[in-house]
Amino acid sequence: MKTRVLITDDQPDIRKLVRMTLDIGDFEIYEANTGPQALEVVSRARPKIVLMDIMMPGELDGLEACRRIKNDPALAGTAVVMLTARGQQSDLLAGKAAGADAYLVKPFSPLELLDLVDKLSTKS
Amino acid sequence: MEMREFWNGQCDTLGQVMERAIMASSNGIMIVEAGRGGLRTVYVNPAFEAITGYAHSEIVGRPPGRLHEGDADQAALDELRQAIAEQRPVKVVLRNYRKDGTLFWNELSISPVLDNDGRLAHYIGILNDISEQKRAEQELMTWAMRLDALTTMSAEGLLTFDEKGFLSFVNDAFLRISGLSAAEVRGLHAECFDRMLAHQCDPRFALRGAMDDIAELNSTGYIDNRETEVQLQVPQKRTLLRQAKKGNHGTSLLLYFQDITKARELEELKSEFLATAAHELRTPMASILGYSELLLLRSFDAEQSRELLSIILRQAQRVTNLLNELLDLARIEARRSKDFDFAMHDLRTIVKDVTSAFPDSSARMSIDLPNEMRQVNVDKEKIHQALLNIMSNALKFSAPGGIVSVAMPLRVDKVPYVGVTISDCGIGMTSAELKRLGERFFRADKTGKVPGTGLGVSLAKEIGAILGGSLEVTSEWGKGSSFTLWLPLVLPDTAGPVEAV
Repeated sequence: MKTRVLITDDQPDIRKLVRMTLDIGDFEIYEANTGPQALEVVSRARPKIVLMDIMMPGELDGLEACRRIKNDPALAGTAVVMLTARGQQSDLLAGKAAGADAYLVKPFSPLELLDLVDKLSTKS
Repeated sequence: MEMREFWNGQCDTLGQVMERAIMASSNGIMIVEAGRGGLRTVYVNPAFEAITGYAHSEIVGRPPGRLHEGDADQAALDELRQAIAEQRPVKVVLRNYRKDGTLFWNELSISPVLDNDGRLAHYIGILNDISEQKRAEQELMTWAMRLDALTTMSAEGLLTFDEKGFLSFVNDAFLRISGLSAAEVRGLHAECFDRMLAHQCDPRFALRGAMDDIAELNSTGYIDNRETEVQLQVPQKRTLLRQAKKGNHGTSLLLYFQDITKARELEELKSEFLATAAHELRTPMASILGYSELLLLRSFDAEQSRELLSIILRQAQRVTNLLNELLDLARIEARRSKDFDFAMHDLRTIVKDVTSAFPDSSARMSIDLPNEMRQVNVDKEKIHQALLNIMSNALKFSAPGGIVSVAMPLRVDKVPYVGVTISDCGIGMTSAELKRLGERFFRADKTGKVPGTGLGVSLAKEIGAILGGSLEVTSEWGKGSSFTLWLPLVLPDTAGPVEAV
């Protein structure tokens, strides 16, 4: 069975990049462009891995969405990776505090992304 | 001995002693007879001679008043005359002059002596040269005024506590910053003062009290002079830098408060700006690098390749624009107008160029240009940039389907100006936000929904200023904003060759 991956980013080019990158593997790609939309997809499709941009417009940003996913017992086992173009120490710490499993700073190499997603998909 | 003899004898002894006292006194003593012919000095003591420089013979037999000759216009003299007329004692301070013409301050006490019939017979005048005292008073007053000026003009709040821990001085600046009144604060003990100040501060932050400094003073004999922060909430949210210093001469503690709110805000803004700039640059780079790498790793058909390459190109252009904006701002910061290439242009042409730079949005634009030429002496590229920024903002902040209108008004303020007004019906700004517009990195959009660095308006403002114009902004929250870039208008007679429209 294909591993489900959700990419949440408000930039369509980024979403497309991730989709194309993961297209070779055994992955089923879902997309969302806001925090609320991401949560909706998560509860509906139950992806194993959620790639989440930190900075998204609206009240529900990536960090808050991550927190909600991690605090929901029904969604246990969902891995969350924060994506961000801000690389400040405070952001990394915030991500960790929100429960993120990993952190990727843009720009990232597609290979780096593949590697990380592979690792997380084999984790139980 | 007969009674009278005895009495006379006693009187003589007393008289001799009294005479001795008068002779030895360091106060000048004068006795004035109040006869039918007026007042007449009949005796002055040696101290009088010493103080005034006049000999006994130069004063006795004449009416008193020689000492203030030439300086008769003194309020104290009126007071003196009044008292004499009313036959009562008085003490006044007069400007008197010695024989050599030098001024001395005379503290004069007058006592009337009545005869057996209750009529005025004599006056006793006691002179006290208080020149030294006066000089010291004046010097003190000068110093007090200087100190007052310094502490009043000082932007730093200053407080002092005496050796018993009571507040001995507070300057205007501190009262202004803290919102406390002099009456509330004066004479307070440090403990009460600490409580009062704490009441106005944010409870989440530690506040060092005067008592802490006093305790340190008492235990170690000196103060660390370290700086601590005060987070004031009432009457306004302010950040203060507090420093304590050991006092001397009756002052045990000095506290200085410096308002660093603005400085902190600027730091905060700069930090935010850097983070945002980084984000704005990294996002397109993610596409450029990501897609490039994919193209190299895998094989795509011609159409897919084109698609990916055009994304790369588009994002590369975005980065370039951003970098140019940043560099422009940095250059303009240095105000190097040599970078500016002045030439005569028809402003209408420039405006047309700007409006056509947004092909996708042209449907939402309402453009109203005059029929006549509007000549300006400007750097075409820079004006283009400034207007582009303003237009871009108007479109960005507009509600979908909203109209952005462009007009070119005229006005006269000593010289004629032509303006380019770009108005939108977007989110608008509150008066507070409007005040801050054009601040280096300020952005009206807090949600992060609207991309940008907040440099656009700053740049436009700088460019306008260098070209001899200005940026005028009006806005109403929820209704929209209107930006007008004013430039000096060059009237046709004074012009040289101009590019065709």
